[in-house]
Amino acid sequence: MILNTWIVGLMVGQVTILATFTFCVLNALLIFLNWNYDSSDEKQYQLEKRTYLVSALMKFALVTHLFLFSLTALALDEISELLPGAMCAVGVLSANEYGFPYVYLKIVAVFLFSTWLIINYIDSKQENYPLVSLKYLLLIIIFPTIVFETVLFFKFTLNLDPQVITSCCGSIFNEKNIGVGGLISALPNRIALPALFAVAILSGFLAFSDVGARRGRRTLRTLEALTWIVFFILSLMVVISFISIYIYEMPTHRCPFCFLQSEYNFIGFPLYGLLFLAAISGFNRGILEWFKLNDSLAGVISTTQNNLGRIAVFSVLGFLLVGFTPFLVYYLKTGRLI
Amino acid sequence: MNLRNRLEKQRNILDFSLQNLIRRKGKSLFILVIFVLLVSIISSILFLTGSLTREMIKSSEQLPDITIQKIKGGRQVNIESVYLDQIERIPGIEAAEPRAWGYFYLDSLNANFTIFGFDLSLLEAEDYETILTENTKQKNLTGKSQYKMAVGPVVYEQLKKSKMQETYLFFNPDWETSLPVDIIGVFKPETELQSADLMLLQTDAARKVLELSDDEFTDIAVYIPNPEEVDNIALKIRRAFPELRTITRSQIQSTYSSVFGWKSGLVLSGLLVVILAFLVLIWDRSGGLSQEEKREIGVLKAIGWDTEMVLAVKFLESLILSSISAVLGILVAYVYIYWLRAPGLREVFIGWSTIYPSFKLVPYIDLKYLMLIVSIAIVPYSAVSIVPAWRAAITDPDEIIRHNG
Repeated sequence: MILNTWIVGLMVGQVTILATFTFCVLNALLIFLNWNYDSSDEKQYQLEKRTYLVSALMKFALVTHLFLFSLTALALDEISELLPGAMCAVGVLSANEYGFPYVYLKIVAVFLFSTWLIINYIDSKQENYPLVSLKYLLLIIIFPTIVFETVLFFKFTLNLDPQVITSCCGSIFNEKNIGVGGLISALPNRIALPALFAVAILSGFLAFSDVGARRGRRTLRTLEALTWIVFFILSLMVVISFISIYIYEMPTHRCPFCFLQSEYNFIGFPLYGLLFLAAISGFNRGILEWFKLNDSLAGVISTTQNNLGRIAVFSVLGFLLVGFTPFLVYYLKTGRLI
Repeated sequence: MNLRNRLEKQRNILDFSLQNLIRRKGKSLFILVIFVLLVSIISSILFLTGSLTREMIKSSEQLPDITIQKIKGGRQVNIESVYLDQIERIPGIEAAEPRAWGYFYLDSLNANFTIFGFDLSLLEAEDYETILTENTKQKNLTGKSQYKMAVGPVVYEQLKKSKMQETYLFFNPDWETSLPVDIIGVFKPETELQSADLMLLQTDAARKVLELSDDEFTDIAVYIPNPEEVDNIALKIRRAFPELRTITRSQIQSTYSSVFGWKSGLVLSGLLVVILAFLVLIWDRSGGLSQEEKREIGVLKAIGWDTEMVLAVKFLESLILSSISAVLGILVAYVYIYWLRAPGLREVFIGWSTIYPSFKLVPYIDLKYLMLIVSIAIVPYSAVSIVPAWRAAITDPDEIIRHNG
């Protein structure tokens, strides 16, 4: 293990999130077990007050989670100086078998958090809290994600061994390499790029199409949510295999973390920020269809879906703009491709 | 509600939170002072480690690509010159230089000097100007003794005390005669981190002082033009001569970073207890609402504020307070580290002998440092402040107004 400032900092953040979340879940359990909207006794009144606490804590947890995610990416780069062979965050993450699962789980957690907060938002718009039981059950269900994430974080940091030589992003995202990294970059750009645009157009098409029956619409929207997940994954692939090489202007440098650093004007922050915003709004727009339990809910949800749709479209455009500008600049300057 | 109204509402909430903070000066100031103190300690450690690591990495770029030492009985011993030819013949190596260096302990000053053998005649006139302040008194005194040396500024100060700033007499009780060496220059203060306790002697003189026999050296420095080959060549050397140890530059660099990282991590872990104590204190202070605050919230709720808005106001109060403290704390740390040169903390991080270099630290502050400070100080504090804020926000207006009339 390395006792290091950055790791201590990340630990403080991670433990804070876990503590906040645990506190939330305890409250959620209390509310879930005792909730009775029709009752007018003191207990129910106190429970209603508690819902404010849970939603405030959860908002805080999501913001902290996102903040910590960006800090992790930056801190790993700093830690890479301690590990022989590691030249950036990718090298540190591959230093043991817990690194990448930890990051993947963090991404999954962002999606789950956002879904919960949107449901919470819709629920709080309604007078009679129609989604309360469901939403607190959901909170209890997603709790293990954050526990598991914390476990992986500690496993990852405690097993960082400065003696073991790791590889750098140049060798991990090498086409000859077998494994996830190799797979991502083996996908040639002439397939990945059209696929990305095809999926974007497909999800746009799904968003505009509508069917009469309620069940049919559910299937349609679920499909839409899935296309957004595919879009997200394809985008990450394109970031690694196409966008990154134009940011670094180097054919061998394919790192999804380095461009978050100040050397590249923090271009990674708007890039990933917009990508997450797009995928999360699009995904939740589809998922929300399942929560149209009554007419009044259906009304609020439809409005929210429209807003989310708008956010998704603008974020995708923004993402493409930020991502493809380095390519355009390079192409216009040199008249060549890499 | 359209966007404009919503923004207006947020602005009003912010405004109100700020006014609340100013109105309760005593309480705000108390939290502010402790928080500034905490943030400044954390950021001082970060700034110092960051600058030192950068400085070390930068200066270690001058180091040889591979340093070769001979190991006997688990300890480093002097290396014989026979290795030199064979190592130089390995393809890919540009040059292999034997080095003579060591330490010279001076009982009367209670100080340990680093002796380094160097061919001083290799120094060109401009090299003199860039790294040495000339020992002016010595200018016309050429040829007083056979040997010459350049010394670090701290060494020079020490020698001045014993009136030996012109010629230093090396002596050991078991030597027959002493060895006089002229001081031809002093290293400039910029190089202090490396040169503070350094005596750069002519190689022959250094060998005499270090008592090296004619065919022995301290170690061998190897220079390799292609950085990709360094690890392979190091392996080759170890295979051919199992008794030799190779140390590559990247190994030294990662050792430096991990030493600094470890030291700061250690200090910071100790601080975690302080942070925790601080959080408990805040919890205690902001948990108990004063009568006046209670009445205020009661009035707000009575005139139609909902729980969420009161919660937002209360949360914003602590966010504003912690952000101001963070900014002030970072400024304090900046002044302490880069203007005052970190008295007190410096000794933890650098130097191991009695002579501490008083070098200048070059500021190195990145976005990630600020984010790390936020993660350590503001994040836990905000988390803790949510519960008291909520407790304040859910109070029922009638209850408060009825009790306080």
